[in-house]
Amino acid sequence: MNLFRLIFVLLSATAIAGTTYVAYLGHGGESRDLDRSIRAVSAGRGLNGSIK
Amino acid sequence: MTTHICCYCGTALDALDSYKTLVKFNILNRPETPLKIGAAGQIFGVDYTVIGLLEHEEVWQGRSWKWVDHQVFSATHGYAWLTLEEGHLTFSRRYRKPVDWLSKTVVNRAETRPSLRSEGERFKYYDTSTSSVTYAEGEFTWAPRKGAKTTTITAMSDNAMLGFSTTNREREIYHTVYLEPQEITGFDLPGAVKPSGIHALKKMKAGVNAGFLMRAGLGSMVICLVLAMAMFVQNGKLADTRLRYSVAELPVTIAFEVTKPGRLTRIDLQGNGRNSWNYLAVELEDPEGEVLFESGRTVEYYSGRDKDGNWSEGSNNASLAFFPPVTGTYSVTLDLEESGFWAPNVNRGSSPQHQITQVGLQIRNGVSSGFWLILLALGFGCIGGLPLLRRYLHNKARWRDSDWVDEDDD
Repeated sequence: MNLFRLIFVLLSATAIAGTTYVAYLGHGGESRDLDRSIRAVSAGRGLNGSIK
Repeated sequence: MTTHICCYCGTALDALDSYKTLVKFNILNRPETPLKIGAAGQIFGVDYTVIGLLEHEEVWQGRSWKWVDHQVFSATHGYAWLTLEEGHLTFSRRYRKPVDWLSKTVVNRAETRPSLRSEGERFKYYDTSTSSVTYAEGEFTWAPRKGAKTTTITAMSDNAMLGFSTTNREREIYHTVYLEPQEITGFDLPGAVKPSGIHALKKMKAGVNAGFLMRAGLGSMVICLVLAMAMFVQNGKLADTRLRYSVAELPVTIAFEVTKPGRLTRIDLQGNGRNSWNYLAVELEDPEGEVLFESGRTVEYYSGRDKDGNWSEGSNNASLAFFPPVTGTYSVTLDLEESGFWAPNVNRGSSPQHQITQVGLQIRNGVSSGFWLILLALGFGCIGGLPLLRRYLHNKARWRDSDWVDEDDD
């Protein structure tokens, strides 16, 4: 097996393993329309929850 | 050798009968060719010498094509033809192996592209052409006649072409292969002649890793698709809550436990309406009572019957998915905010309609998603599919000049 093929196999295996891990966590399946501004602020409570 | 055509005066002389004059070609019409009579070289490692050249012309629908065949001779391998066409060189020899004759009648009567087998190779019909000799010079084993017509039916395999030629007097089969630059040496060939386009017989130059990339790419794509399917069916753990709520109970707040923070959590909603739309508002609070999001989903399902039969549109199912940041007890508040009928005035007998009376709710923590694996599969598909696409395009270019038209393509 030449170097190119070896690197291709290694990169492919890494890509599949990494993507499988984030897929297992559920990334890519989250709703895109949820109100993130509330989430961002509520974590710090810097504005005393006054937004919305 | 039976005929000698003088390169100075164009006279064809009968070498078997005291060099009697047979016919005279006009040497002013001598075609331009880099292969000169007397030039010697090697083809597939065999010594050959150019002993004659023959120009053909094919006229079809007011257009004409000319090409030059070079008669070459080897003391060990006999006579053959070398043809130069738009910078591409091909090599033709008489074919004496067993093969069926492909006639014009067979081609005209065929409903599908005619094909034949010889020596384990499958040759498929390529085209039919009728050409005439417009110029001849040198030595030949037969007597070229100006204007003598030859009809040639060609059939092509992956590697070679068979030409079934018929003249008024005889018929013969020629086997033609493409000559790569390393397969022909000598003949004083100019090195600068670059072939243009894709010759029908030219094999595709695939990279050394093309086969590997195709197999590895497509194999990885299949792995990604299988993993994606596994992720799509991995639905996590169902929260311990009531699964159905009457619309009369709404708004309702339901508490549920999250045991796996940072893992996708999905709220699945299900309505039971018919030909109506219903907007369900959803608010989620984290274990500390802070609102994580306010959102909502419309569940709408329409169905009916028209002249084309039964139809349905929309879905009574909807879902929201989010990443809970910490473990603990979250609470989701559900309310029916708005609803309406699709068409209040239509005949309810043919198209029954009612708004939702019950809402189904399922909350699952630890759900997986195959989205990124599907995207990765597409990427691998492109890598693996590229060599296949190149092969397909090359093959299409090889067959583009074929005159066979499938009846389905008309």
